[in-house]
Amino acid sequence: MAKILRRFAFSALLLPWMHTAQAANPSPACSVDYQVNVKLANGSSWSMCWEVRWREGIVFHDVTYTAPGASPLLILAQMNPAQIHVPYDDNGARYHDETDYGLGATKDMATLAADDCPNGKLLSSNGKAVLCQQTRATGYDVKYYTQAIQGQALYLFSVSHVGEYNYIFEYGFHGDGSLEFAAGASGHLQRFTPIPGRGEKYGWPLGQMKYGISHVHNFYWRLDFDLGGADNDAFEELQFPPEDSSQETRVLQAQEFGTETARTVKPDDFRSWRVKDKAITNSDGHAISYHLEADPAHLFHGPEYEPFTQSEVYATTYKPCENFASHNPTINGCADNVSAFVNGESLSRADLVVWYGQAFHHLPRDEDEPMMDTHWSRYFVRPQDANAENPLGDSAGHDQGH
Amino acid sequence: MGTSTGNAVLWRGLLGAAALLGASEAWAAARTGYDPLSTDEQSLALKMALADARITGPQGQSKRSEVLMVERHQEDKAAFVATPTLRRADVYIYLYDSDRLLQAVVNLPKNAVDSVITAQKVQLPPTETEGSASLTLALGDSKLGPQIRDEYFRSTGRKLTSASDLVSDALVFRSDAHPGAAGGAARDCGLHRCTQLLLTSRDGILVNVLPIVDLSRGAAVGMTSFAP
Ligand SMILES: [Cu+2]
Repeated sequence: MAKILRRFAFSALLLPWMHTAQAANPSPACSVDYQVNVKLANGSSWSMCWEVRWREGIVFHDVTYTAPGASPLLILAQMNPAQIHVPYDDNGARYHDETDYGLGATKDMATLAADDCPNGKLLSSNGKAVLCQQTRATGYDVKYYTQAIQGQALYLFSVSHVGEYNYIFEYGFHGDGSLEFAAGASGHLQRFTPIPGRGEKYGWPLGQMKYGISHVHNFYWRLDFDLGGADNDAFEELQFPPEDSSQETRVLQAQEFGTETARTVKPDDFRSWRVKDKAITNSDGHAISYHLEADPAHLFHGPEYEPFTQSEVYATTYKPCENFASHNPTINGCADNVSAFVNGESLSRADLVVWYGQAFHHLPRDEDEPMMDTHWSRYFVRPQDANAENPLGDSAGHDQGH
Repeated sequence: MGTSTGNAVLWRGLLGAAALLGASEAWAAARTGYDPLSTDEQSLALKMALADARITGPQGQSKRSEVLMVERHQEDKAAFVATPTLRRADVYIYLYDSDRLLQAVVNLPKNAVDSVITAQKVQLPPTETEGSASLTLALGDSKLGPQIRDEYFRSTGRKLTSASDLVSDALVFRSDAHPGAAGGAARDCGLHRCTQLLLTSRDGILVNVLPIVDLSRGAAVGMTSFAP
């Protein structure tokens, strides 16, 4: 850990323009059993450490991407689910699954078998196979007339069960440096009503004389960005409102936040966010950054006793006791939920943490029985100028046009 | 829920389950950095916490206590950079009589308990022991017991003959997370240690009720179901 941070701090000082410097492999802060180091077919590679934690399930540390021929770039110090909040439309239940049940304890985390992980490799913690590692073809990375680059990604997933639900947490590490976050829910529905008056109002008819109750899965993620190291990161919002009432032109508005902030999505202005490093640039002189596009299909803003649901994206300064979007342990003066982590601290060149809550309103359907097919909530965090050009542009030899 | 003297026994039970999954392989490998605690490290951390006067003192004053969790201490990144060999464990113990959570931070290489913190209104996930204790209390309750049996019969067409006919998953219940379900005695949940149970039959049929049990009080305190 010390070494990896120092190495990146060092490169931040000395090598901002030398993105193709000869790089020693960053020394991992974990033993071999808890390391993932994968080189993809197109020459890029990913490395990280992983850990099973009682509430969070699988936690990844020191997530590092190396573009073909480039030096390693630390992206995230840590990433993991930070809550699954499940309020039902009839107010019959409001679960906080991660903190109140747990995703990673022995009883909660599925033991994976070879069948769970086709063409992959099972990774074990304390003798129990909990993580599946696969590389998968992802289709075109690039297509241009006769040229094509086929994409490939490393995938890592685990399964946690909470009551009748089985949650699948899957991460895609793409050859182009993109990160994919996906939470899947499968298993059985948890709550029904036989009462037509309630079922028609709060649910959907299933089979005969039974209604599945609609509900929301709010998946919160904690993304502790340490782009090129913990220092000098900034949180910026991008949006593109119409320039004037003619609606004919749109202008880029970029706002960097000086203090901790809670933000909502605004899809009609294409609002998005990025974490950029204020010291490291690519060889074009552009600040390296990673860019979060939120999924605005469903938004959940709950009652006032769920203040963490009032915004989708939060940027806070790093604190080791701020771990969960809700029901965070109030030990050592730490607040109960992410909305209260936003309390005016400076984000300027701070070690910052981004929180994203993605909502999925689950409307039951006949196909949810006897077992429901997995419904996925997925988003991406993509490099925005982390490289001076498409890092796969010269890969694989399928592009004949250079 | 064991007595304070029963904790070690209960914990051995939990570790026993891990051992069945082949934990012995892990015992050999040395752990470092972000690695989760090995089962060896967990046992050692628990042993050290349970021998510390700051734990045994308050624990001795509570008739009922439970070891909730032993896991790697989430270090401050800066501390980890300064001391990469830092290898510490959190041991969490709940005292039902005083509704207090004890957190011991155990320094494994130094063989020392670095700190013990007491917290209130912090509720960690229920243990399996707490889950089964909750089910026993719910089924034994004069009001909830018959309702659960009725619902089991309605769902499965069979009579519930014993608690072992049910599979139960227990979540922590906090009244501030769901005021609508927290009428009457359930209002204390959060300050008290409470569970909410998700029930199915052994053959996977949902039993559509959500009993709430107050483990601090040792009683069932409410139930939500499909009906308002
Ligand atoms: Cu659902």
